[in-house]
Amino acid sequence: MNINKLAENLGLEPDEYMEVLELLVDSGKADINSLEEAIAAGSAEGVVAAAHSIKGASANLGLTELSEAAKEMELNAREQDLDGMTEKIQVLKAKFEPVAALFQP
Amino acid sequence: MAGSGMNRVLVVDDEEMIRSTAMAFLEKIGLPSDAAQDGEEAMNMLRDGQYDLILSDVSMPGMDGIQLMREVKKSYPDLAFIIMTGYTGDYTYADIISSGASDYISKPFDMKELKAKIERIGREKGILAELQETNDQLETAIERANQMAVQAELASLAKSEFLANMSHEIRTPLNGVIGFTDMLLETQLSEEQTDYASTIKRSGESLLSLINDILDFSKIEAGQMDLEEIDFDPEILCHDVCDLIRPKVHDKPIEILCRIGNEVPAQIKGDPHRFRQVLVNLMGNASKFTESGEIEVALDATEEKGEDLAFHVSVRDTGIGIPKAKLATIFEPFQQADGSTTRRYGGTGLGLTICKKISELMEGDIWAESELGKGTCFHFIGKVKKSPEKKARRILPKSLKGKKLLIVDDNQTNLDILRYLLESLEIRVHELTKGKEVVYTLEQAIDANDPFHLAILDIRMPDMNGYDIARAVRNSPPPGSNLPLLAFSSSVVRAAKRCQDAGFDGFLPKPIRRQKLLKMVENLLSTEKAGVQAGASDGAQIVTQYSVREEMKRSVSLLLAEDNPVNQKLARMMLKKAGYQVEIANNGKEALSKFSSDPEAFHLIFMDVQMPEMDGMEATRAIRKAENKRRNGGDPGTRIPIIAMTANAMAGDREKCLEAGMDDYVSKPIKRELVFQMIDKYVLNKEAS
Repeated sequence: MNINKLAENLGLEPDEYMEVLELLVDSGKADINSLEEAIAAGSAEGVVAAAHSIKGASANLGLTELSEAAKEMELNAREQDLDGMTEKIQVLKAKFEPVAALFQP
Repeated sequence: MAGSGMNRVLVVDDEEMIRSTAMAFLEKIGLPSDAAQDGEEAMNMLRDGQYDLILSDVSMPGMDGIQLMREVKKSYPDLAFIIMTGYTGDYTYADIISSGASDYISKPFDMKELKAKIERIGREKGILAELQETNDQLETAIERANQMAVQAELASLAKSEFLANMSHEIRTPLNGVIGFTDMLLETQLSEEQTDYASTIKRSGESLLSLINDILDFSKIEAGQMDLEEIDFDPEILCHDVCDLIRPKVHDKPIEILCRIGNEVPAQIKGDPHRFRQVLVNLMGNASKFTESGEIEVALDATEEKGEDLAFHVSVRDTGIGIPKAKLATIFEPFQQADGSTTRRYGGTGLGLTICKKISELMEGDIWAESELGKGTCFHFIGKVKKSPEKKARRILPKSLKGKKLLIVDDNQTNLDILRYLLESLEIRVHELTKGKEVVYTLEQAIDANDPFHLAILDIRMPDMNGYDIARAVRNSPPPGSNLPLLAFSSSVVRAAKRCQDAGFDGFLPKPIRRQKLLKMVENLLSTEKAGVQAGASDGAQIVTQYSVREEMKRSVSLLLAEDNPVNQKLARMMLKKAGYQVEIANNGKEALSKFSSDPEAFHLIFMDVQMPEMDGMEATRAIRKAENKRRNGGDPGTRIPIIAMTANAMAGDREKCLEAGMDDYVSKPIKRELVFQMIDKYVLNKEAS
């Protein structure tokens, strides 16, 4: 992850970018919790909402892989297809972890 | 007598003698007959038998011959009638004939005469019958032709409708192809792949424009093209079209000029899309067929009585021209001036046809004048409506009145436009076409105690370029060296720095936009004093159109409706950094209430489409409704631009957003450039006019 490059793409300073990124990690954690709950409850609607949120925010910050993982979940859930969601969320988490790790105390 | 249309005769006379004589005589010439002794009996016999001729006495008891004839003609208009008269009678020849008799004969009658008369009537009857038959045939033929015409029209209509539907159906997947090619181009691609994908995109775009033309054309043919009536600024529109065309001629030595008449209101009511379409088409043609020289779009308007406003657009170029013989046909479908044109310059050959139809829908016309090798001028006239907006007329600053300006350009058209713009403000204008004369002219004015207040210099001139002139002015003795200098040029690349180094105070790109020019002139003249005290240009920042814009930017206030906190923060950061004021709404509902509490507080709304509580579409509809309500309440207000932000970059989304009342659309992930482009397009350029 090249923070300088990602920040530059958005016309931001690296520290400004980190500020937004931290917000993404916070809201991302909440979104992932919602995702897990929705998958457990079999609520396609819930998956769409949470995945959509992660997808948009991460795409805006240039985190393409994370965004793609969320997008796939969103699209499937839109089709009422919740098959393999438990695997998919593992993929998503794997993309999310390194970002979150940047802000571990 | 058979075959002559005479088969049976009815003789009517009250005198037995006459009846039998006549019948005997008729028998002799081969005509069977019956007899009646008065009118009443004759009428009864007519009811039962078939007669072709009545031979009737005129004076009879009861109904006389003339009365009988009138009665008969009511029921049997084609029945021939010969009246027999005595030596004296109540009726003249004229009375008899004008009452409808075929002829008359005096008693005692001459047999030969009667025979001749009957034969003549028979002949006439025959001719008439023939004529009748021909006429009948003709009528049948006409009816058939009409039927066929209706059928043909129906078929053509069905075809046009089919075409319209087809084009629409093709457009949808094509938008998908182009959209996803765009997305593909944003991924990591090798050089070769980028090249291929760009080719797909270009091909897709040209196919799309082709289909759009066909769609428009078939819409016109099917009578389905309707014009909108919305307020727009025709000046901005003309400049936008110039901006669109400029990149197409960037490698050719062409000046693009835009001249807006003073009578043109700041707002008119009409169909900006179609208006623009015609201009883009004409300017696009001009750019294709011109290798060097000028392309000028000029707009004039005259008020008419009532609501109407007549406009006249001319698009003039110095291109290859159109042969006289082709001038009339270029507006016909699939006709280009030259068969090889399509191959060389592309295009569907429908553009001008569509323009013509649009002009007709605007109650106007379009035509071209051309001289081979010299250039072409297209004229486009039509009608729009006056806008009820308060600022119907351009507001011209009065502070510039009486100032004296020197304008220098080797291009006379540019000088004309500048002079026209400046003189409308009652500025005194002196023009020069030679750079070498500038310093001398300035000094003379100082000597004559009537110095100039500002000079506008073209950069690219053959004898002495603008930079050299600026340096020469700065090196001349004061007070002449302190004159504010404004550079203007079509080459904008990094020109500001060079201009500043040469001693210019401001830089303005061509073509001249009225408001930008006025703002800069005003700006320079108001800082004139400060400049003189500080000793001209040293260290002072150059006033460019951008710095004028910078000032405007700081006063632009945006409302961002977005539920995701990350996106909120990012967008706010981006926009603030660029100098805009941003307010956030967490959903559609909040956006609506923020807008409603002070509709004038924001210049533009960025609206996420998918939001909890109230989505972007619904919020937009509510805002538009509120605006309409205000408008109906008599407050004209302004229509706030709403730009959709959506991640679902699918074909058809754009239409949905526009349908909901949004003005435009940016797809996510948010791209800085796109966002700024929108603000530029909907706020800054708008403010500038």
